Amino acid sequence: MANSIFGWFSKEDPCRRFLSNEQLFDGLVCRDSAAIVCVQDKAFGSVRNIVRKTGLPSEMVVEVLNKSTVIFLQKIADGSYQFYGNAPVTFLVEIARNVALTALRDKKKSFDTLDNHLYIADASTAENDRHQEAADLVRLLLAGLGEPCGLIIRLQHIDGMSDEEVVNQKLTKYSTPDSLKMKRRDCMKKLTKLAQQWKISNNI
Amino acid sequence: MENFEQYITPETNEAEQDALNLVQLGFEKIQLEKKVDEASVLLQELQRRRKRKYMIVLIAGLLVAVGFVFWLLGRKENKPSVPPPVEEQKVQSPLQPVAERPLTTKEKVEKPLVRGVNPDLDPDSARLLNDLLGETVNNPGAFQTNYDWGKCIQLLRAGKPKEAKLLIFQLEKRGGSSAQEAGWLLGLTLLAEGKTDKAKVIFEDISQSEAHPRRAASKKALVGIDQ
Repeated sequence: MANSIFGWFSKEDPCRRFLSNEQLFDGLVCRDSAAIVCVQDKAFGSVRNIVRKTGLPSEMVVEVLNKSTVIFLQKIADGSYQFYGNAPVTFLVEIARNVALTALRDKKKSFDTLDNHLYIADASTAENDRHQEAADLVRLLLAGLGEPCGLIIRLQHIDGMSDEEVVNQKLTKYSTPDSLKMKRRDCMKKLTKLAQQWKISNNI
Repeated sequence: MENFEQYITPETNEAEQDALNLVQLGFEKIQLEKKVDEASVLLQELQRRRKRKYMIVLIAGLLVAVGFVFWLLGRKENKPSVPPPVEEQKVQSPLQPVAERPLTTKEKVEKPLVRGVNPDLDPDSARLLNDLLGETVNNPGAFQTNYDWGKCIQLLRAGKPKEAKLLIFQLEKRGGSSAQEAGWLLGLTLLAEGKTDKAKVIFEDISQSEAHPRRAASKKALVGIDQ
């Protein structure tokens, strides 16, 4: 009876595929959805406590956790985070602490409250900001690009669909992968030009 | 995501390449955010299912606990009353009918009084009481295994009519044949207390009651009293 109840609950365990920290880390490197769910599940309780202690509303727990996970995966991708046997969730929780404090600052809380919080300046905060600015820029430029370029680029570079899938599902007017690829190349040139103009206009 | 290097040609200048790198960075971030958002949705669904399962287990556990409590209470109510202790159980065993031969005249005079009987009781009354107790024991009827009845007889024989009265009242409360027998025993008790007149009233009452099982014995008692 106890085993059957345990089995019933263990079906809900997203980490059942990852028996060690190393396996979990490998999953995160590959950006396996199950690995991301696992690490978020492990960190959820700690992040909730951090949000509560920081004084942020409880609705921000998911937002803080997601932002922290994105930063964590970026650090794994660019090599900032190396696996030395520690549980990946530990680092994720540390990132969440900084993200929560940043959110608190952005909410323009009184400066007195900041004195009560130890804000650890993250060396890669500038890097994170750069990534975020780039993402915001791309969204802005895609909206300005119009159709069908916006759709064609989004399907490939955001939704991750292959040209064959796009053609088979008739999501665009292009009936062959080659014609689709040609059009996308033109669109990307336009996008790049827009980005260049934006950089010049913002003196970056 | 496709390789952005395909967009770099020999004509691509540094500014264009920077812009392309920025776009690539942006797309990577957006893709990552999308993946994490999808994982977050999965996590929330998982947490919802988990919470539902915990609630089911909690409710099931509560129901089992409540059912167990009710079962315990039901068991306690249906439990039979504790049998009397061993000493009393011995007393409860049916009294052995006393096999008595008729007394000779000499014995009637010289026969010692009933053990422990009221010393103030006159010998005739004591002898009559003894006879009547003997007859009661020899004809127990439905009371052969009745604890209160047996104890009452014992107490009367031991010369403790007052204590016997308490048990008589217990018998009387049950009504029916027990109340009838209680009346008879009360008559014997009054006789044991030396209250012959009062005993006579009871025996007369019983002797006139056609349905009373001790009618014949009551008549005998009245004869004994009148003698």
